[in-house]
Amino acid sequence: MKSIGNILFSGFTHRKLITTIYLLQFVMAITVGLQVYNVLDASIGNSLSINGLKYGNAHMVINDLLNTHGPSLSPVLGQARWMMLVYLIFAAFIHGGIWNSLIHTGAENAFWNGGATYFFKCLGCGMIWTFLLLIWSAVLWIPYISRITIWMEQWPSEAPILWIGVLIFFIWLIGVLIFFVASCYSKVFIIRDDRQVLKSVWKGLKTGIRQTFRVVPILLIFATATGVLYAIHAVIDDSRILASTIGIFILFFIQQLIVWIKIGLRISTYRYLLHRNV
Amino acid sequence: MRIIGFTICLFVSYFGLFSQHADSCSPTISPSALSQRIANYTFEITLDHITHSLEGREWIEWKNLSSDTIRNIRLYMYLNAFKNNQSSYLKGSMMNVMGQDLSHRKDEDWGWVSVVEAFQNEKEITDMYYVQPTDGNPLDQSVLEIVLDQPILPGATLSLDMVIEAKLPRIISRSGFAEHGHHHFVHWYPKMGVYEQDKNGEWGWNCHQFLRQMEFYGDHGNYDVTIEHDASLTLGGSGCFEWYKEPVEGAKGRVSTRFNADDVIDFGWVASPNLLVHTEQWRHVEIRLLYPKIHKRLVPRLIDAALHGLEYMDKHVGEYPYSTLTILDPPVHGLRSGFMEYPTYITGGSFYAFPKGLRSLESLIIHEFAHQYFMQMVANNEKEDPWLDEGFVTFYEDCIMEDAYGDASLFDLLGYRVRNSSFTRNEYASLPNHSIGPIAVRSWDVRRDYKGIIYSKTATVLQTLKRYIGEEHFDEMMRNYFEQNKFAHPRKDDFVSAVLEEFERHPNILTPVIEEFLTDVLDGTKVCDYAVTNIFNGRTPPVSGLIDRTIEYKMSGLTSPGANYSSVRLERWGSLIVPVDVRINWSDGTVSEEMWDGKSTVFVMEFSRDARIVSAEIDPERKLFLDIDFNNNSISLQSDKGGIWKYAMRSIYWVQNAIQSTSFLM
Ligand SMILES: [Zn+2]
Repeated sequence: MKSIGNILFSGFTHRKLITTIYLLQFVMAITVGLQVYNVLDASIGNSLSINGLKYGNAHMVINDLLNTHGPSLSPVLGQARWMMLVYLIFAAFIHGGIWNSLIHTGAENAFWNGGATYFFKCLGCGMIWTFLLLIWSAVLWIPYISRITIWMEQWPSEAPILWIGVLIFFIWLIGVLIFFVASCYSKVFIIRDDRQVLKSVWKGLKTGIRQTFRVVPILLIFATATGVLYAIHAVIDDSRILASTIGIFILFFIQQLIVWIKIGLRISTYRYLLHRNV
Repeated sequence: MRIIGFTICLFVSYFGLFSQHADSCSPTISPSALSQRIANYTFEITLDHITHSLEGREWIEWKNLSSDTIRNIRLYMYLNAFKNNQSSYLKGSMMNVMGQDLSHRKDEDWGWVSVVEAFQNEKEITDMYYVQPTDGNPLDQSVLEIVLDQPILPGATLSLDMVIEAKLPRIISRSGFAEHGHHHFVHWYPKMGVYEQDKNGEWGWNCHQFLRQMEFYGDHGNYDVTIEHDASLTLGGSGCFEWYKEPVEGAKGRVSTRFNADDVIDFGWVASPNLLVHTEQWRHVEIRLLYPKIHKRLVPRLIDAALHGLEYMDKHVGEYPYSTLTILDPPVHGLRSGFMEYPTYITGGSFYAFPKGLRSLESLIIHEFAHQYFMQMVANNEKEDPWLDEGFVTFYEDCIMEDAYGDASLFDLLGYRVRNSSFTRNEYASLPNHSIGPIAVRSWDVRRDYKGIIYSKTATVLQTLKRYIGEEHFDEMMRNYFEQNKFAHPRKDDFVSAVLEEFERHPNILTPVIEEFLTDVLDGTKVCDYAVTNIFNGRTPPVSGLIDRTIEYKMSGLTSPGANYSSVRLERWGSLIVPVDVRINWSDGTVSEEMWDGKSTVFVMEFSRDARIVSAEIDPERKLFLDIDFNNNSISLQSDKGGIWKYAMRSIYWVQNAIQSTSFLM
């Protein structure tokens, strides 16, 4: 039996794959980042108040900026939203590539070939899973949210309202995990067994329901590892040590390392699911 | 520094702990009257919490301090605002009143108050009718006029004996009943209007109908309130109290609570089962907190906030002369009774598991407490001059919060930090139209952005005054204003003269224009925005041609053409004129401090020095808190873009994370 460490880091043997995906994501994100830079520079770049931005959260600087230059920031937000949508579609290509690389290890250009070959099938499959997730979320959350104000007026205490919300969150999370595992397996069935999209989704769902509870501990470990990365970032982002100009670039390097590691963890997860031989 | 007194935690209802007939209480620490005690009330009432109604007697003793003979009196009957959907308070908005849909309201959910019988010197008065002095709506019953049997001569006292009935509505706003036996009684009884001189010196009743956005106005006096009620209810309210078991023989399960509140403008109270009581002593003040069991963990935070409030206001404004402060932290079903101030009784609003770094809970308690000074002791007309209390209280809320909780006083959550004063300033600075209206207006004349103007702009004006004159003199000014106007009804001019006096006594750069400034910020809608728009370093240009007359030049020793020449271009983008400091940093490391009267729209400061200007900043110490954009106050030729890089890199990081997280099913 493999140790947890082996499972957690197994994906990092695919350094070239991780770096390729990282670069694709970086290229998309940097267009937004540069826009943010340009807008900030054009609006308050010569002001002494930008010194405040280096330290923690400069509420007054940001608010004055939004009040005065809010309209010039909205195209950036629009672009970020548009970017997310493009990436969602592009992610079908990336996932086709990742799974192809993991299934046909050693094959020449496995990532690019897989992405190109299975793009439409992965896209169809991803859209079905996204749609199912939206339905699952609506079924759980809409009845709850629509009752909160009524319960607040009628119930003796607000604690049950909160705890019901927490309970719903965990039920919702179980559904999300099942969908995640199922979507992974449906892509395995498409690429490894060359099945049709709908059949893969159906078989993926059955496998997902069967497998999820068995892999929950490992998935939780992956989630915890990601959580730890976020926590590390929150602490260093907040610290005054990295508020100097060099410090800010060190912070950027750490941020990018975190992003890279997160891709590695994702690939480790996929490898782990793949090697359960379902 | 805060003083922690001894703590008594009562985790059971106080009825269980005391025996019959507690000692009588004294509601203030003063042996003599603090106010003129114009309107005094005695109540003997019975509460039926099943039908949410009360009945009983109300005696009013009212002193006629005017030079008029009074033949008619006017009473506020504000519970009638919730009698039907035709009241001026509810008219025209049935679908959403404070987030509530009233279109399907049951009959038993409406509320009202009525005078069943009235006697003057034991003679019944029959001539009484509703009047509508504010908006003329004939269906509104929030003001009752009574034609007296015997006129009240100047200096004489009216004694009125009334039989009253009241039924609480299901709470729409503040007053009413909620599920699980929660009852909140505020503006619940027939209450005297104020007989006073208007701006033209004419005597008359100032007794407005109850409209939305409107609060209260009344004379100071003493309240003696005896309430017979079910023993299962915990009571709290204005003043101090004593209680009696079985007030009527054989009335099992009934008790009587008697409240005494002296030198106050109103009386509010709560009756609710399942409330726990925590008491804490601060010097002469007993703080009594009523809270639902589920909020037990919030008790230290609520008490801490109250202690900070007492400590700060005592030190910076004046003495709190009352012996009690009662705080209601309402249960969730009674939340509509929260967020409000009554004499020596305030209501907050909190939730189970309220995050520690989110201090809106403390801020709210401090805000409502500060109202004990502005609206309760300094009893401005909250209807006609709401800025005189809400704006002042918002200002003190910010001061107290920052004094108590430091730089991240309001939010300190997930790396997001906000100071109270910065939040308040932004409520004003972020208004889509800063000139939407002046501060000094009647509450019902404010069309929109009530909070941004009445609360936040006023508080920002006070911050500006404080920053120009300095904390010590500002405190002296407010102490004088408080001392001169406590237990009275000040108006705008009273505040203005307090400011003028202090600015004369301690001149600063704002003093020469202080009168104009106050007129502009209180009665006008001028906006303040100063900017540095250019820095130039080079050689003196030859002077030739025409110089634009709208541009003012400050020539500081210009030499012949070709000499070193530096200039800073300052601009006034708003119409409000305020003198400002200008700080200039030079390449040789020196710093020069200049002053600009801020009058012209463009002002170019010129220098001839060996060094070059590196940066220039208007109002570097942020005294002019009213300036709506601080970012344009400075220009630096060697700006360090690190902060901008940080935000650009952050946005890259978060976009990367966002696309990773949202694409997990693709
Ligand atoms: Zn207030």
